Amino acid sequence: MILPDNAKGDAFTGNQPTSPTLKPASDFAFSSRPPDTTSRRRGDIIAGVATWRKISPAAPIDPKMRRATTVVSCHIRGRAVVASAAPPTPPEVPRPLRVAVVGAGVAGLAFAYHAVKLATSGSAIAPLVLDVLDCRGVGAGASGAASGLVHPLGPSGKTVAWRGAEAVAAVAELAEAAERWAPGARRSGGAGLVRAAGAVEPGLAERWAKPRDASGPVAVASSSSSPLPWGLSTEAGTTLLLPSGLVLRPRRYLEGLWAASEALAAAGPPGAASARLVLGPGSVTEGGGRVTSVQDELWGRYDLVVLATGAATGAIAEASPGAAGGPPLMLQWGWRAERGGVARPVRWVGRAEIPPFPTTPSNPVCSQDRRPWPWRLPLATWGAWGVCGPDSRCVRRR
Amino acid sequence: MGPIHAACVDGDNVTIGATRVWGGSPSEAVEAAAAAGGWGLPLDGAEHPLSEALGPLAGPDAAARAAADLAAVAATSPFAPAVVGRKPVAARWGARAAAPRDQRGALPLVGRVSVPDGPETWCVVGLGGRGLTYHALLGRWLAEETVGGAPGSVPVELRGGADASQKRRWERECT
Repeated sequence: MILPDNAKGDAFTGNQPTSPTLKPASDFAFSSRPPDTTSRRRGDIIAGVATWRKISPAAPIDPKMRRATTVVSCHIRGRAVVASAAPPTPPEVPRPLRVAVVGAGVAGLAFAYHAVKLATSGSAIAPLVLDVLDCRGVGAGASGAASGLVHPLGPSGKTVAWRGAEAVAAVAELAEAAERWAPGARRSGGAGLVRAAGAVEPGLAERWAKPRDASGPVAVASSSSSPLPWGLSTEAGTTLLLPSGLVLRPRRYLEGLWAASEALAAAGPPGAASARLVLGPGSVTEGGGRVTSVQDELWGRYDLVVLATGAATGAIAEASPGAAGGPPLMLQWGWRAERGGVARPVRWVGRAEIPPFPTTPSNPVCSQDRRPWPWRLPLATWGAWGVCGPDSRCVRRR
Repeated sequence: MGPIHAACVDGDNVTIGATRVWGGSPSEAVEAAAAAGGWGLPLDGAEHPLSEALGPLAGPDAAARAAADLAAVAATSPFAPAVVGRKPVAARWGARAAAPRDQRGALPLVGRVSVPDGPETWCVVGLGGRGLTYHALLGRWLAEETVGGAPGSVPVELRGGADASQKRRWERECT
């Protein structure tokens, strides 16, 4: 006896038939669960069906598999069973997906926001129960020490970073949400803003200028009389203002992003998502301190674990760079300092007119190219720039 | 030390930042991560052992000292007009982990981690100095891949870990 591959609902997977409607066996769909796409659930289903295939018609049926017996009979007869053979069951409520995000930095909180967004919009595979674990707090690590610049340029300054424009657009979306929910963002006026328009990269501009054109300014053009608001002179010709960029206050941004996630979960359909922040030494694991082993400390409590632990990844046994299969990582110091309080005379000769950042994701072929940004400034010495068409062909232009 | 970056935060405030490669061990990184959020770091351009780097964290004036140190470096850069004369407001430092660089740059690494008899575990690491730029995309892609049930949402350029073959763990698929 061979059961059809679509016989997913059975005692092995825990699914229940939801409709008592009489149907031909060939059309029988036993599961009310939405199509499972995760490998974990696919594995459950495959294992269950494989076990079914091993059952002989002559084999004794365990009483616990009474409903399964009904199903088998159904197929032997080639038609559906009487509806009353199985007691009516309420519609299945999928078991929540219990998710742990280890690390309340930029990566962890961005994942949390999008996970909650998927769950509350009905796009998740199951209701979401999400915990963000951090033994020190939101943005307490290197994420909070970022200088705050967000722009699409690559390190060389001549090219757009891999999917850089798409990345900036994605940050803008989160910044919008964070700004709405950041504590005190609106009350405190400018000082509390999550973001400010414009990003400056003198280091990049300096590097551009020296090897290619040391004769004069390269990053600014006298096309606008708009002053820089904070007194940054462009006399040296080595400063670039990117009006489409963003400047974030990292910690305030992260606090707002988490607040947005909580608000999103609270405003969603009942039971669709819950988001909880677990902070402080001793609260992450029963042993206190930080997570050191997924298997020992999180198994059984969560179905999915996302490690977004930055330099502390080395503390987690399964993901340590020193462990077999662990990611190779190089360590850096990052730091930021904020200065202010003294008004400076403004001397500003102009600013670069930069075209809007493209939002079309780069295709696999083009993503291997370091595409120079299509400047519209008379900066011929910067060389060629390229565009990528929908046919995956990259065209170089002067 | 890498190039100094600066940005207008709001009003008259300016933030300046920089990154420096540090050859610490993973265990030292853990220690550094635990201490991150503290204040102050000597910025004389020399490489310091972690113990020395953490030393200045003690003391009430550590923040002001760190800000002054960074400003001293910035004063010799193109930022001088924006930095000189301004008073330090705040300073922070932290330990970052960056991925190896390839022809696309030092892209972050995303992949499944092998946890025998454990939950499905994913790791997103190596954001380095581009964390603010890429974190939103990484979060969206990983959420779609795991919570949204859309395999392949994470671009192959970032994939590594248990998804890759044993020989190519954490190496770029397209290199």
